[in-house]
Amino acid sequence: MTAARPVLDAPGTDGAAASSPRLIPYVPVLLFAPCFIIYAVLFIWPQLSLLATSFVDGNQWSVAHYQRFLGDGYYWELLGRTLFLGVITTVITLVLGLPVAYLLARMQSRWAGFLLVITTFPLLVSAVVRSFGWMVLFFRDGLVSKLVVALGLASPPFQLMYTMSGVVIALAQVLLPLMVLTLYGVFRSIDRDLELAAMSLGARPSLALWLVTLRLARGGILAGSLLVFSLAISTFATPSLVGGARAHVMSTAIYEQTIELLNWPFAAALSSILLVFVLVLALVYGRVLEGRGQTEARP
Amino acid sequence: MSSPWNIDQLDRRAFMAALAAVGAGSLLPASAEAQGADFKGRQLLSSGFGGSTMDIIQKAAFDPFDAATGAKSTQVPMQSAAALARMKAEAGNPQIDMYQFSGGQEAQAKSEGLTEPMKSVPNLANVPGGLKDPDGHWVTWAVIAEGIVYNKDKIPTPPTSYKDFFKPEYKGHIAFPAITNGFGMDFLVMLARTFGGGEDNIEPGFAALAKLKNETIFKAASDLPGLFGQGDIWIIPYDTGNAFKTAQSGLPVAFATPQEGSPAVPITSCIAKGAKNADVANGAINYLLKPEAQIAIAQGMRWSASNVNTKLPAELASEIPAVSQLAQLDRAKINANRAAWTERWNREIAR
Amino acid sequence: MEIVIENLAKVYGNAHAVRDFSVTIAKGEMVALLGPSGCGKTTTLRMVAGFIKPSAGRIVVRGRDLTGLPPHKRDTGLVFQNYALFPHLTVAENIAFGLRRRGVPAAERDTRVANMIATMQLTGLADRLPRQLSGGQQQRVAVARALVINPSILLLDEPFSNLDAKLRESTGLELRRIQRELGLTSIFVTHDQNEAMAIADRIAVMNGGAVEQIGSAVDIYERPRTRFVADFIGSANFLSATVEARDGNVVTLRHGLGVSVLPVEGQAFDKGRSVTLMVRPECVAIHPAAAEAGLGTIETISYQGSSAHIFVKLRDGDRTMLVERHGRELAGLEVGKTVDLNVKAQDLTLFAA
Repeated sequence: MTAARPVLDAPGTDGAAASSPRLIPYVPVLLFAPCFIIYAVLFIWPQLSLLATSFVDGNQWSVAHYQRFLGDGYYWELLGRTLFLGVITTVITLVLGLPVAYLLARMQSRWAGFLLVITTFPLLVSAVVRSFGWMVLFFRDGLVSKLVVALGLASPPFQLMYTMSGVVIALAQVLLPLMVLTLYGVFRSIDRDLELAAMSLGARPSLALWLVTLRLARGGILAGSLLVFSLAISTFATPSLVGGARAHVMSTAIYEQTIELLNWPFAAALSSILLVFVLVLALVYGRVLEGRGQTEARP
Repeated sequence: MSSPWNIDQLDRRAFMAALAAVGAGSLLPASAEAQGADFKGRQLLSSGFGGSTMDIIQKAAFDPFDAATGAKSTQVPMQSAAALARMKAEAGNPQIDMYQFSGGQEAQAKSEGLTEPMKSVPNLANVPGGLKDPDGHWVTWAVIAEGIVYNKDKIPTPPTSYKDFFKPEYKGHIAFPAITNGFGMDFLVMLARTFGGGEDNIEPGFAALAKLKNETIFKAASDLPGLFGQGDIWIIPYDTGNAFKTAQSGLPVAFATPQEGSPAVPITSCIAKGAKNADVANGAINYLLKPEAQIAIAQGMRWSASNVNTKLPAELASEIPAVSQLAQLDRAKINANRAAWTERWNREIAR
Repeated sequence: MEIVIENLAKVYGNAHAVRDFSVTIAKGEMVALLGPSGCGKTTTLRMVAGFIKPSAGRIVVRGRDLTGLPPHKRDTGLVFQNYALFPHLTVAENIAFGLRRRGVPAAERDTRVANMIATMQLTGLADRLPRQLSGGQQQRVAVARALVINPSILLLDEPFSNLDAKLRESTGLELRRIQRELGLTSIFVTHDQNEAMAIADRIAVMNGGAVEQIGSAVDIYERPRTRFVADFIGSANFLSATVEARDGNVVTLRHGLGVSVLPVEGQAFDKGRSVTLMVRPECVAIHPAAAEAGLGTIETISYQGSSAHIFVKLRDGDRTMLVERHGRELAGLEVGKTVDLNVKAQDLTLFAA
């Protein structure tokens, strides 16, 4: 039977850390260099030579390939279809992914980790294999095509195979995990107490979600959307396998020009045009984020 | 133009085998026949068609060649079009010694100066003039006959003509390959011929194809089992080899030779200019031209032989169109128009 | 009564996070829920706020049963441990948030926000974002945001734990002043006994999901009802003792420091029983003694300015007693010196077993 609770304070441990790292000016440069060199050799240089290729016609410099693209409604339609694919896929993954990511991020149960793994599991399977899976379901006798007919959404004979709708469905499934992962990270970083605070101040749960959590997640939602959009407009395997000849998009056209028709300059021009769209989007996105940064901040 | 033989494009096993061959090939024991042990320890890399096609060719020609000479031959799966692109990209420093083409790429490869003439290939003499390059840059070692592949249960009387694709009772049950698939291009040309045109006058072909534009269009041979397996695709313009393969999978599928003729697709090989193992490649090509190899290939895939000395067994010969039934397409004209027709096809047929 | 909480309980599977929590709080009273982490104090607070659904019991505020109501209908002002300020809204917008939800007209809203900004000494900061504020300022915004809606009850979850020690006391007293002025009924959760004792009218000491004792700071410090309370609040010396004799409600106890006579009630203190005595360090008298006569030896002296903690190792065993003396009354007391210790019977608290 004893004695007192020790009241002694632990000896001070808050002194200056043993040695604060003194940064030698060139250390950051050295750390950055390998990445930059790889980036330069494997991305910037090929990208520049691609751009250069797109301005070659025969043996001379020319904008003929761009003129051909811009002056032809067919290619505008191709570009429009590609951008539409990107937009619709982004919207679908956002609508499906947002609630899933939110619930996973807020879930306290020990199943949450398991469910997250399940959600992202498709990422471990290549898009080609997943697209083959969809093909089985999309042929006329496939489960999904039959279901669409059974629900009265289409009249037989109907198949999702070789249609743009099929590509959208397959692509949404392929890209959904990326959206969920991105949004999951975003929601995890938003303090749940903020929503509770809003509720205690009189906001209905849905309003608290809207006014606080979704407002704070805006940057992450934009990031996830940009990621999915850029992948959707540049992906090749799914449109090629599921869409076949009819659902022609920029990526399959680039492939066709490169591999089938060996018209590399025109393929390079198509690639550059697609790249410009992605870059413009990324810049706009950056702007939006910047603007947001002035009035808002993440917790 | 893509090869129809891309069934298992990404054949991992073959790819790994290629890697293994590069790494460990020199350690492999070479069992050599007395007369040809001169490639002992040498490696040969060839492009290949992938999947079971590649395996059959390996067993029919490359394996016996390796056994006889001590070489180690590996095929790297690659679509014909992609193979030509690779050949172009590696011009001057070829990593792949020899190429196999199914879409007429050999002519373009020669014209772009990517090939070198074959040397000391004794069997070259047994190949008829139309099936080899006059300068010896490429040689046909098999011929694929195209025609009509149909569902025997739905169409009890074998089709006889390309005109059968326009029978009203088949409407909604037709599929045809995209123009980027070599057979799709040949289908267009054959339709043009059927309706009064040809390589020089493609209009009738596009006019006829436009009537089929609402039918199913597919891109790759790998879609074939899916299409026939459904039961509601009855008739497809394709080749003997895939008809045979699909029938082997248990589907009620047969091949019919149209009266307009079966377009012949030459399967060729050529040697990359400056290939380090050009001598080995020459030896391997000689083996591809051997009657034994060509019979094995015909048995495995129903591809026709090119060596005049190859005598196919009777039951095999009956399943493959006779030489008299083959339609020789003007590949040079087709190649010259490929880009324009592809553009037009994309706009008028696929849209 | 302003707030009545009856038999509140929360069960997770087999674990009782809170069991049988009952308290009645008068208007304007401030009650602290005090206990170690995991004692159920935060769960209790969150049940009152409506974030956690109780397994049993009810919560009645101003005669209105809140038990089944969602948080946004409870009219509670809540200050979070991390303040939970909306990072994308300015100070003024944060404060106005609750008023907007209540549909308060813009003019009135602006006035109330401005008044609150003045009251909480946030003048000039109205257009700042939370991340541009110091910790103390953020804390005041959190309080302002909770107060501006005139809540029927103010709940505070460890409101001072993120402030540095110097700010903590002044902020606490300031909050107490405002709470008194507004006559707000309040519950706050803390693990810091000094904070609870300095600010709260009454303290509920919780342990393992249950309330050990509710009472004023003096009650709890001087008359702890359980060993846990005695040990948790302040410092305590525990002595084992034996009942030597019992005469009615008076017992004679023998313990390490001698013999004491105490009044008792109950069966647990019959003759021969072993019991435990608790004495606060400041209630132990210490004197230098002759080497052979003393009860123990000074092991350590921890000088803290206004006071000094003296650890005395008793001769009969390894027990150490903590004695607190005024910082200037250390004459004759040095490490290694033999000392005598005395306690007065009225300073002893007796626990069965």
